[in-house]
Amino acid sequence: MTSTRPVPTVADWLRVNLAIGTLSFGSASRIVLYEDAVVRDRGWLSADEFAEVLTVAQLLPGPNLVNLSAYLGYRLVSPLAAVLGVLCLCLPGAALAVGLSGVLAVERPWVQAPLRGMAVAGIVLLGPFFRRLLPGLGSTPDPAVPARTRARVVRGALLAGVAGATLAGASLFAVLGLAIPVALLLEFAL
Amino acid sequence: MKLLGLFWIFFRLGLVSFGGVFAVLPELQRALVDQGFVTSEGFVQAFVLGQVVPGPNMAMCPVIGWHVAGLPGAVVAFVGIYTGPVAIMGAAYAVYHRWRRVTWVRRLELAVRPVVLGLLGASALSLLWTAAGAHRLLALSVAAVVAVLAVTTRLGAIALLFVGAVAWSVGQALV
Repeated sequence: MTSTRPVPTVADWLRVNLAIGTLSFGSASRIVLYEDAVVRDRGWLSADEFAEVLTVAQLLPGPNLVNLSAYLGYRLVSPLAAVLGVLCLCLPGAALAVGLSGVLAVERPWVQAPLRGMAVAGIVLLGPFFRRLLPGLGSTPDPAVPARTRARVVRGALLAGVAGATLAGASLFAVLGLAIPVALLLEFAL
Repeated sequence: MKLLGLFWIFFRLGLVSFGGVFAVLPELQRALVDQGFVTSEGFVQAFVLGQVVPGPNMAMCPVIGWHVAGLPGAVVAFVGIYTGPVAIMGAAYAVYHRWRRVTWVRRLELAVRPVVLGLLGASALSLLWTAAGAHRLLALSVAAVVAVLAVTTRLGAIALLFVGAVAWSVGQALV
């Protein structure tokens, strides 16, 4: 980090998280809000540094938005700010969801119909995520080296195996315990 | 005891929620339904509420917690699901900041990507099945309408959720 970059205070950081936690609707596009806030509007990080943080956030378990907020909080301010920032990000939506669940009489057919419709639409909204990540299944770590067919086939088979085992009712921990070592072994074999 | 059980379910799934709540939906559903915390129907409704509110898509967890044990349940679920990821990111910051080799991290990401996508695909299908209930044809039709609109128009996520809600309501009234 260069010393010329502005450094956020705890209050600055909490304000950013509260704004995103309150006003961000619609799934994947929300990552852009952090990029705008941290890189474009306030210059706390460079675009390259942000991209690097995003890769770490996507790689590790947890919702991307939470991971991004936590990592940025640790990096830009302090561990306490990271935890409080995640609270500011998650609490408004959680409180609203709990509130709505108490108000809506979900067993009524006319309340259930739109909720079911929204559930189905929400699943369809996962589409762009697949469209973005599936073509890159054969990618190599170096962006200059083109994707390889063999890697694509092998990783595709792994994907199908994980999906099939999960649908057949295998426990998540069994699937992960088997699939992650296999994925890492394949990575070295390819 | 109930709260402890609830915490444990959310905490251990938070530790493996690669990419967010979708990766762990089938396991979460099984754990909660098998132990009698929530019905499949209630699970789907909590999922939907979690999707329509702002913020990360795990807002369904406190909703389930609330219905199991009121405010303490909601707090336990909230803390349970987010503790793992926040702690892991702290550790990642401490370790990774020292030897950041971007290609190395990217290689790991590529290696694990098929696993994440496989989990995601499986939860999309099983969730679609649960949401459909007895109306499988209707569910597929609504999914098709939303998918076509998502591809051909520039409608945002909230607009598409609304389209889904209207399409299902209209469809159910017609059948």
